[in-house]
Amino acid sequence: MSAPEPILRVSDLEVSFATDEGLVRAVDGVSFELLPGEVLAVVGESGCGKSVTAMTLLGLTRSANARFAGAAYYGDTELLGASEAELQQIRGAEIAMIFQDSASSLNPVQRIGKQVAEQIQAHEKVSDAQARERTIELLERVGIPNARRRVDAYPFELSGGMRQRVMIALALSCDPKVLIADEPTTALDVTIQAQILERFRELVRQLGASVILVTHDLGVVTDIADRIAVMYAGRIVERGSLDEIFYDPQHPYTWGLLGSIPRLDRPRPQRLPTIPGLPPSLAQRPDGCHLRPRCPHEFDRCVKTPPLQSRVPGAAEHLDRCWLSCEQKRELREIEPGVIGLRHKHEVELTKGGAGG
Amino acid sequence: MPWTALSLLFIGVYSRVLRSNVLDTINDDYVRTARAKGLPERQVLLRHVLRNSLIPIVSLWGLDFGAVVGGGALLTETVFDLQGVGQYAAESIGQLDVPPVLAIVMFGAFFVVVLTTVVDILYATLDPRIRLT
Amino acid sequence: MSSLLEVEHLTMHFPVRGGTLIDREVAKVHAVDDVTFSLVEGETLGLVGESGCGKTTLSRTLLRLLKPTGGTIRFRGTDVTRAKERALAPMRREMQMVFQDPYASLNPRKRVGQIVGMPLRLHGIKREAREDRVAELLQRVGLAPEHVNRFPHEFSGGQRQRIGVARALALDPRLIVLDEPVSALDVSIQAQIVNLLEDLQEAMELAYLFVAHDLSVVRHVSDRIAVMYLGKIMELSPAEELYSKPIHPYAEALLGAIPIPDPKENRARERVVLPGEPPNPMNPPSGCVFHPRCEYATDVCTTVEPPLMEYPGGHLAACHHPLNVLPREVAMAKRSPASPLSAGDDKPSLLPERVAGAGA
Repeated sequence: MSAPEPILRVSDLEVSFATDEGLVRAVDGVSFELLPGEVLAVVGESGCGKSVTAMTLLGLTRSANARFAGAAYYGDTELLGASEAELQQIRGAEIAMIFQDSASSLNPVQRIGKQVAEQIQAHEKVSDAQARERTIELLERVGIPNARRRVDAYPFELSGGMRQRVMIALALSCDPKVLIADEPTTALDVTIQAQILERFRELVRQLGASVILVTHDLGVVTDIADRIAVMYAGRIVERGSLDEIFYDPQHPYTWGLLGSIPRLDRPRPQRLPTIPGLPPSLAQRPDGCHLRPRCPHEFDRCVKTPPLQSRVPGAAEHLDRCWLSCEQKRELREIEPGVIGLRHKHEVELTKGGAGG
Repeated sequence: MPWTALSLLFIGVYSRVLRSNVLDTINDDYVRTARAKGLPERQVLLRHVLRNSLIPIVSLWGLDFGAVVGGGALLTETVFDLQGVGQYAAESIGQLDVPPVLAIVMFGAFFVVVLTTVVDILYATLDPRIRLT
Repeated sequence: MSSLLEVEHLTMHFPVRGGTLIDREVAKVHAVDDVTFSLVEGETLGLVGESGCGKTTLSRTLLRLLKPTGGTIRFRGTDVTRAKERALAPMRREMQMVFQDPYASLNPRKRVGQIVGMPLRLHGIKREAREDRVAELLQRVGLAPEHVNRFPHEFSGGQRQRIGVARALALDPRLIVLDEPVSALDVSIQAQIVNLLEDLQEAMELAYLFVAHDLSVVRHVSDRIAVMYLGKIMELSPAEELYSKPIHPYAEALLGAIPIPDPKENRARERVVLPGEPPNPMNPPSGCVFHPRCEYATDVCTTVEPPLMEYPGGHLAACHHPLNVLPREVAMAKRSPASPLSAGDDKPSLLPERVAGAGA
């Protein structure tokens, strides 16, 4: 049985910006594929390059001081080298984006109905009346009550949850094949987030669209993702299915991320586990594996950048960037029986019998 | 000719303000959304960037227009020898004739007030967030 | 442990002005609507609720950044509700605040040393003593003393929040009000800051009022947790008990909305999604303010405001049909003096399907 054709193929994507401090690489060799109908979560903390990766796919990071390398294929079209005209055809109609901050991502002086209709009319030849009817129907589908009245509202007249639904309606308006959602529920209350995720999941399923979900919230990921790519300092450090990442994480950074989620289903720990230190600034990344300064399991091989490959027997699609063997990883990641996390460097040195770092 | 002379003064100020507004607006998130919709760049610039950048200019314009209409074009009229309120004001000041000056000042003030009101109303039409206040 | 802060029937209503010719009050925003609680030295009270519940307004009112429209605030026994600014100065030294947005709460044109030293300067501490203290504070919060001359924009969000904490600690306060101090940060940085706050609390015997919308974060730092909705306290519980035995349906809904970071368990769990949105605080619903969204609401809920009942163990909840309590606990429940004055006198009654132990 042949594997389904990926709808999006990104290979060795590099995005750099020329700044006063020199060329700064925000995205450092990212590769992944998006299969039809799946939700791929790109997870990482602020500054890891996930948003830049997502926006680059639509050509939204193009500017005078941006440099690109690698390739991103949507079907036959190569997105990095595509002309503005080609991209304009794809944006909204084939690949649509949902931005994070709905308060600032909607034009404050334009009615929301108009903003949705504008996208429809940019891609399809429909009259104003038709576009308006479609907009109202979309607003109803995303769960906005009184859509017929609300269609003429301004963004500031709506609550955060309603505005985010408008953003979703906007993204879905031309039946895109790919949706890129950049932290779609971060600014929302937890009960509203639950509502929106539920609705979003259903709409996406109905549409048969694929989703790239960019987020730092592993809870949201648990709810709707099929596969996860974990990013750190511009690189993907681990990639696998939802279950693989949560139950058999292979990269120390993933252990750290999983460990620092406060768990309501477990007793309160003495101290909240953290990942000590800070991610490296874009301009000052260490050679080899970027996690070295913070990783207690660093050894001599780590000065050479580990390639992203599968090291788990029997799991060809579960990739990671860590030189440790699979058995070593499975042992080292349990900081307590049944609890996965990343130890602190000095703790590990103490247990090694005071051997100098 | 007098109009050109008069407008030269304002072109500089307005261009600077508009430029500053456009620089701010063009980096706003909703402009990015507009591009992500697949709108042609021209439409993005006209319908979103320019339109929103012009709103603060409206209030500037109101004040300036009111001042000009209300007799502020004193120098211009004197130079071009136009029999206008400005020249009249200049003469009266020169002759230390108080009543005309009073009248012209009131006249100018009246226009400024009326136009400021017009601007307020116009602003509310253009920027719906203002209406609630 | 002496009582530090006592709040009784506190209300903060904001008038909404309108009218065609004459400006008059057309409506009131009931931001904080009859809230009663107290805080002792060294304890942490978590205050949880969603946008619009009044927690931010409450925290500002407590610091007297706003003047309450009703009720009393007593700090160390002294009534500060309507005190003049000058009389508040001693209280201000002891009660400080850490703000939510690490990007907006630090003056970008001032250096870190100036920001942290400002409270000291305002209270007349001389330069040399000030510099020493600032260096000490920075070290306390995990920053290097050399950072004194840097500007806020040179730091990450988590580091800026540490600067905010250092500033709050400058005058050696007894109580710190933290308004969503970690919401804007990544999860692993959140954990670092929460650990820091706990260490500081232990070392300096601080009391915290920890305002948050995230129940998972509050659990770790709090001794007791209050759940607010539309200006009222729905539940006030010892921390752990809120998570194992939420009594108020809103607390149950909040807990249910949080995804479990364990795919199998998350899939197995039956998620009840709370419908609708919080209503407009200008027009609160009659009776129990939560009734329009509550799946257990009955007639009495629409007409009578439920009193805050005290259940065994110091667990308070304002609900006509409490969850997760046994019938004898309901019988033993007394009306708490913290109950809003507008609440009715009805005794809670258990709905048949929801009696604890009667099956899921």
